[in-house]
Amino acid sequence: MAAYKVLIADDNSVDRKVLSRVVRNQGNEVIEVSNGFEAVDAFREHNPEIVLMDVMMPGLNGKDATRKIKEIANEDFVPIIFLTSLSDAQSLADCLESGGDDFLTKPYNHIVLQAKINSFHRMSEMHRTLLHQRDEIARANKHMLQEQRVAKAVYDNVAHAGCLNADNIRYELSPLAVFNGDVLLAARKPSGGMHVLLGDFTGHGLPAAIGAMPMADIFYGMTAKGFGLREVLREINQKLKSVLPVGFFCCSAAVDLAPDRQSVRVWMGGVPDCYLLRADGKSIETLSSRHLPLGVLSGDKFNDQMSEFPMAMGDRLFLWSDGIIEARNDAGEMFGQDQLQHTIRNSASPLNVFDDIQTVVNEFIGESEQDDDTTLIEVIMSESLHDTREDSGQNKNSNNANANSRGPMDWRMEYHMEASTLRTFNPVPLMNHIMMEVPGLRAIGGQLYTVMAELFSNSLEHGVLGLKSSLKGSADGFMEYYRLREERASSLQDGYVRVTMQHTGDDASGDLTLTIEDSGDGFEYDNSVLFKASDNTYSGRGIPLLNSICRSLKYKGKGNIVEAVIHWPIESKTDNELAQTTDAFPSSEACDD
Amino acid sequence: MTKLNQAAFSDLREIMEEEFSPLLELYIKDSDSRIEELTLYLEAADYESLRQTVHSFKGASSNICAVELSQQAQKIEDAAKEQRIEGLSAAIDALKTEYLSVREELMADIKK
Repeated sequence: MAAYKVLIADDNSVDRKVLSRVVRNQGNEVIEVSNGFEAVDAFREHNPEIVLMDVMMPGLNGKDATRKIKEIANEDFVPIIFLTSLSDAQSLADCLESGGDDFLTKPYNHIVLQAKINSFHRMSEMHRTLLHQRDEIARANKHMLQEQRVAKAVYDNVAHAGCLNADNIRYELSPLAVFNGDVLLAARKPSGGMHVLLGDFTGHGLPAAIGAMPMADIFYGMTAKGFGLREVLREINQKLKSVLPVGFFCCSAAVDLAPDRQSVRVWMGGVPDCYLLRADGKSIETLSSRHLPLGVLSGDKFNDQMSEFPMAMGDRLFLWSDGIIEARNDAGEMFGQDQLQHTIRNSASPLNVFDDIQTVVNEFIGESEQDDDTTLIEVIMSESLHDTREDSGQNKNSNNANANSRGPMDWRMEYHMEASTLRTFNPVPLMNHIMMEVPGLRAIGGQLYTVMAELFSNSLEHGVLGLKSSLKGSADGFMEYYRLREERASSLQDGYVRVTMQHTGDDASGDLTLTIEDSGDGFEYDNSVLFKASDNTYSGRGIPLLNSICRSLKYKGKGNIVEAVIHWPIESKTDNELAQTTDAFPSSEACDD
Repeated sequence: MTKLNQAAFSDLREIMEEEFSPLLELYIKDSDSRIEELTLYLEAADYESLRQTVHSFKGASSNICAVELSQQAQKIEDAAKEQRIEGLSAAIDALKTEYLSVREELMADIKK
């Protein structure tokens, strides 16, 4: 039997001696005192585990001594059992009221006495365990908060590398979004325009944050290298599927803003309906999820199909996670999609919508406990999107020409793609990647990307797929064009595109000759007017824009071969020439597709 | 005729072992003075002190298995508490007589 240290306080020495002997006989250690003052002193000195306290004692009585001892013990649990010959219910209740934990009526029953001592000892043990665990939890919590701070710092570095602060974006995201699983990413495309991604990971806390890291990494990395959003999404889906446990995924809305096309392409999986608000503030279009969230389907089942909508300058796209719709008020009611739509319709002007939503939602939530996970982003189609300059912090690595390495200077490569490849594969990032090995070309990556992307898509769409650019003249035709493109590409059986790149140069300057040949029928061209006319034939092919970048651009053969020569540094184009092209093709017009 | 509950008394002896005789001596020493105090408190009409003293006397007597003595003490404690003064003097005298018998029996045991 374990020996407990028991303090016995009783002024009646015979009673005390007998009780002391009984308790000692049961294997315990006993400290005897004969009044309340001695009891308090002995408690301080000996730190007993249990106190047996007579109620009536001269000097300091049992109840007062109990109060003092409980005070000294502070949060430690020291059971105090009152010894009393009183037996009426009120007297016994009074004992407990004054802070005692139990009572023992005289004459003592030895078996009950020992049972009580054991029982209270178990309770003290339990209490000690509780305190210990409480302290452990407090320590663990402190540790966790520290880890979360680090995780948040890392997350912020990864997730905020983009251009969320661009002037065509407004957003609201909890500073602790990392722990509610909401993610907002935005990056400028090398060719102009922007990719925006809103994600809402299942769950909360670190598990929700973990998936955001590779997601942001892939999003920024691939966008900077010129990959299309479909490829980015495919890669993110693949990555999340492979790293997240079953049941963890990311509801997402991904947006590809193409200012030159004045269109937006949207991929939505598992997020609530979002709205496209026209610049006039009158027309609202509802965009709905058509896919499963990212990280659910394996690569072969994943559908990267995007919906394309015309989006003119000043049109606004509103995206949110379910946090805003599921925000609750005091009464536990949800804000809901209807109220959200109502708020947008009732705004005085499109300019106010974002603020109005924030105000209405905050008023709705009121004093009720903030879940703090209302994530909201407004994306505006704006002229500034033509700007391909990168924000500070973004992509700075890919732009730093490595002064120590000249890179490959004189080389030539040919890349021949057959129909089966053309059906699904976008070679532009790969081509861009090869060009980026030349330090001098790295500095003009954005422009190169534009040239490559335009010429390749001309060859594929007009050449191999036989699509007429005139179709894109009207809004309906525009949709039809992309529908046909999709249809013909997916069923393509014959045809090819051959890309040839040749570079010559030295440390200071160089020339890249880019030749793209397709299996199409070509078209009637006149290289002499290529540089001057803003004729539909050419503007439909984005030629004026390319002209401003290339030193020379000409069609060959039956019009199925195009050759572009790009000289770097690009400033070496004479001021005259530059002024001419700029005059002839003001940027807004040049970008009209 | 014994004034002690013999079965309980023999249990107590077993429990206390070598502390048994010192316990009896302690009881006699405490009780001798308490018995005298009772008369003094009665004369001074200090019924609260009387009650406290007879309460302790009762407890101690119960512990050394003097059942009758303990019961008599209980009655005096009750009377003092309710300040029923008539008959209190006689009851204390009777308590003294009973105590002397118990004391004699205990002394005999100590000397064994």
